[in-house]
Amino acid sequence: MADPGAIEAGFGVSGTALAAALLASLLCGFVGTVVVLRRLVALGGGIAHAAFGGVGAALFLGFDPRWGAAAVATIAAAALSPLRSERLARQDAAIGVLWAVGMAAGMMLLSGVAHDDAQVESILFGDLARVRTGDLAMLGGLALAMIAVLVLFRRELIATAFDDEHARLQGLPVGALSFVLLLIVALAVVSLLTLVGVVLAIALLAIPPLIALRLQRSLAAIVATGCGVGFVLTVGGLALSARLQTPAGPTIVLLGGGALGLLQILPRRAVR
Amino acid sequence: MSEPATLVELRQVSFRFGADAVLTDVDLALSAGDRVALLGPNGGGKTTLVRLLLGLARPSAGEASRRRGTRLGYVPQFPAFDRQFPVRVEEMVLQGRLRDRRILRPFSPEDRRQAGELIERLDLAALRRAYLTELSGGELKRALVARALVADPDLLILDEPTAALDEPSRRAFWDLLAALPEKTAIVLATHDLDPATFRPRRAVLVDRRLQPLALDALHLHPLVCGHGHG
Repeated sequence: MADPGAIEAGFGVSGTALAAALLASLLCGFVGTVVVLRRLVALGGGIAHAAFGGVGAALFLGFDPRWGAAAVATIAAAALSPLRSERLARQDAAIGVLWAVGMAAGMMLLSGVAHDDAQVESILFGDLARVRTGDLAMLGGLALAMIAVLVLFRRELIATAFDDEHARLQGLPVGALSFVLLLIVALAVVSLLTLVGVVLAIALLAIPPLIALRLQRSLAAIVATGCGVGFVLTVGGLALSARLQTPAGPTIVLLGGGALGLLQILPRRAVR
Repeated sequence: MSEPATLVELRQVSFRFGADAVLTDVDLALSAGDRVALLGPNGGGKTTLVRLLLGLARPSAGEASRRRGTRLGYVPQFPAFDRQFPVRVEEMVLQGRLRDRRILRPFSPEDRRQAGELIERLDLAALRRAYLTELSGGELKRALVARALVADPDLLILDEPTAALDEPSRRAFWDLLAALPEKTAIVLATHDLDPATFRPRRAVLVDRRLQPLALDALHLHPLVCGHGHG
């Protein structure tokens, strides 16, 4: 019986991959905008690399690696959220440590399980050929849940992301709201791991909103444009990688990096 | 008549930053209707004291308490947020009404009316839809004042509020302050008090420790307008 993944949707991109790209682009727009505006890019990168340690631990212990990644990412978000705002310098150091220790633990544990290099590579850089319908259901459920939280609590979350001191004076539960934001970033990173891997996940969250910020001014327009740019980049990257026979994750990220670079060269007035 | 309710109280509070004692043995209570001037040199600990009163900084020693449900309004000397954040003047001012909104509910017409009124009174009507990057320093300060006042605060704390304002804006600001309800406690932290604009009922010198200043001799103090700055 044919997996939808086997159906070609055109340009050498499978239906499953296309659906995954669509879900990923929603995360690019909604969660990515949070990441960029709240300056969580380094933190998101740290969480992604810590999650690699979780993948290694899960494979070592014989669990589904996604659960390992999600568990470690959640713990990392919880550990880092109290360090926000008050001790930025310490948070910066904690991210660096998390990044390296997660990577080292993942490598160590994976070498213990003696999996082949191809599997390690697919975890690091993603492998869309491995995306299954079950993965899609999980990615879709998670993405919709995260977007629902962001939309429902947008006023509180925007107030906290913009000026957490003022939000605290207003009596908002700033600690809880900051944790929710970090948790969403952590889960978005984990959701993107299958698509583009540990190393490139944060680029997919950062590049589309950065492009959107160059093109739009209002928050709603930035989110919408971020989704659109994310979709064009992922699908364009997939088609390009099929044609050039290059790995999909790096192709998507390089395409995005190129587009962003091009926008940076153009004068701002010509863009907006 | 009963004693006015204490809104915020610091008891024997000290604050250290590393090995540096920023404030030592501070006792200060603020009640409804208070009008307090915090005077002192730059680096004397005024902003730290303000942050302790607001609960934004925790004492290294001593005790800070606040009456439950006290509404706070704060105009910081330097805002801590990123001006690139895509938020319009009106949206920022409305954030001062978040306390009265139940979670998941949109802002009410009353919230919007009050925000609109303050935006108008602070001469920001033309900038209502502007983003923060489009504002001058003085315009941003006025927007911050609007955000603090729209909260209908029990305690309003102003840290060097008129530093970036031109003369007409200053006058509008002091008029607005004078029109606040009698019960609103106002704390003004400044290194340069002009008694013609703000008439405190108490004045305190903040220079690592707190020292009450006699109001009738205030005009002789070097930190009061026209008598100092070396």
